[in-house]
Amino acid sequence: MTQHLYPPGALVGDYVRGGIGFALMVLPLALLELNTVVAVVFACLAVMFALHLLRTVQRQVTVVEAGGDGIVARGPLGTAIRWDRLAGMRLKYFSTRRDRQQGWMTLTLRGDGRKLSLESSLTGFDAIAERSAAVARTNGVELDETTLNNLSALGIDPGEAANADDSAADDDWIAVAKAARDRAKDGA
Amino acid sequence: MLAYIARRIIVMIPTVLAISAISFVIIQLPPGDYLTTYINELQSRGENVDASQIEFLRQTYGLDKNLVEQYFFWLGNALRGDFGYSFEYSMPVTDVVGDRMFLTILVTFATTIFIWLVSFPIGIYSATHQYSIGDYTLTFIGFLGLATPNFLLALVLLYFANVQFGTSIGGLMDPQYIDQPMSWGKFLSVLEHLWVPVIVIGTSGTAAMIRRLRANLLDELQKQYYVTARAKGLPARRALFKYPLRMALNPFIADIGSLLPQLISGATIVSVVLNLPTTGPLLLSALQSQDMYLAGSFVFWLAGLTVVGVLLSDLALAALDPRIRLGGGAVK
Repeated sequence: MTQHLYPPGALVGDYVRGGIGFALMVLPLALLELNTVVAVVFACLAVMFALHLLRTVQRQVTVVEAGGDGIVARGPLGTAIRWDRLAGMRLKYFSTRRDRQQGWMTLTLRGDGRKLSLESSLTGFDAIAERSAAVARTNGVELDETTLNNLSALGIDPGEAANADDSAADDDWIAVAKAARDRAKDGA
Repeated sequence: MLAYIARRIIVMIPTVLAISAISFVIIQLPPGDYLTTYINELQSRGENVDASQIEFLRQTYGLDKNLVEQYFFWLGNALRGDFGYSFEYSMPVTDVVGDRMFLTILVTFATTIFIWLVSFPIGIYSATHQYSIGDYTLTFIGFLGLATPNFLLALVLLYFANVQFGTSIGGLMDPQYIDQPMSWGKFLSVLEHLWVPVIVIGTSGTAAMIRRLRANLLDELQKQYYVTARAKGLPARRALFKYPLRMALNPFIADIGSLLPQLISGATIVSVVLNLPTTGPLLLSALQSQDMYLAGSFVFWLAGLTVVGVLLSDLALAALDPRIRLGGGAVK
């Protein structure tokens, strides 16, 4: 069983951004008689920044435990997914910069109707992603092109992960290509 | 995704403020203001100028304040929905813009649909039939569209529409419907006139989009995953639609960023030539006459819509294609 946390230092930026955004939206609402349309837009954005702040707090107090049976997020809105019930995995990369540098990743796991989202600021994120990819392969979970590409960027062999497609999507070209490769290997 | 949206919007706020402030300063850079121009105009016509009245107007609209104060005065009012007073039209800015905004949105929306409908199939055909006679022909037509000045095409189509279909010259509706409430007849009249500006404005955009889609799709079709898929026997159409086309569509999504500001400024010259009741000619006239509140409002909307447009396209791209790019790196 391994424990993973969001280091407070990694969350400072989110607190600052959420705080500034919330203040910039709420202050005009409180101090000025805004036009109705502008007020609605500002209110929506204020709610969004408030949710972002709450989500940051939730991440700070959440402890993620990954073990042989599954993965558990302990804390507010915590959830648990058993590895043998893992039915979906998506690894996304986001960046707000034009050159798409200095971004972050989000790993979303699904199983038993539950969803668990983890961000790359979590300690040991790479290990969890690797473990999830291996489980997804075992469970025959189909991984999309984006996830395969992002796994590869983390140094996790996407070819291995893509083998999971064989049983789930036999009409997909990836499955066709992998099956052909495996047959060639067997023949050799 | 929530974190991405929050971070993206935080980046957007100072950008909007900076662009609007810079735009406001640029508008103020020419010597004098609208009232000075107005006084000179009256004096050139030999009319008397009441100095006390001019001073009163100057104080009422804050023209006697410094630039920073004028900017914040204008920005604060803008958030309340008051974009100031148009000196040239002697009415509030929002009233001056009025119906023109709706017609501008209509023209821009129709033009965008036209561009997508035409360029999408042609771009795919040109890429999948590279160096064929069809590709060369469509490429030639595309370059012709890029090279033909819009105002020239506008004049030709106006003449053609008038001679062949009896459509009245210029405008977006027959003269009897101008300033009338919306009716079925007015709607049909707008439709009858709409195709000319849509084709004129859309031609260069279509040609550019065809070139971009063709180039992007050709890049994708050279990649190993597509070659492997074809080599393993996947049908050409299925292999094309499964991944390469999706990746090549990014320019269409990214184009949303430049679409919104066109609502305000797009095709100003064409609108002048075609006498379209859109916002483009209004912006041009406001800049020429130094009608600062009207021009300032337009520039502010342009800046805002540009940033919102880029935000929307970024959100769409992040939702559709959240891949890390080679050379990029995730940070903890």
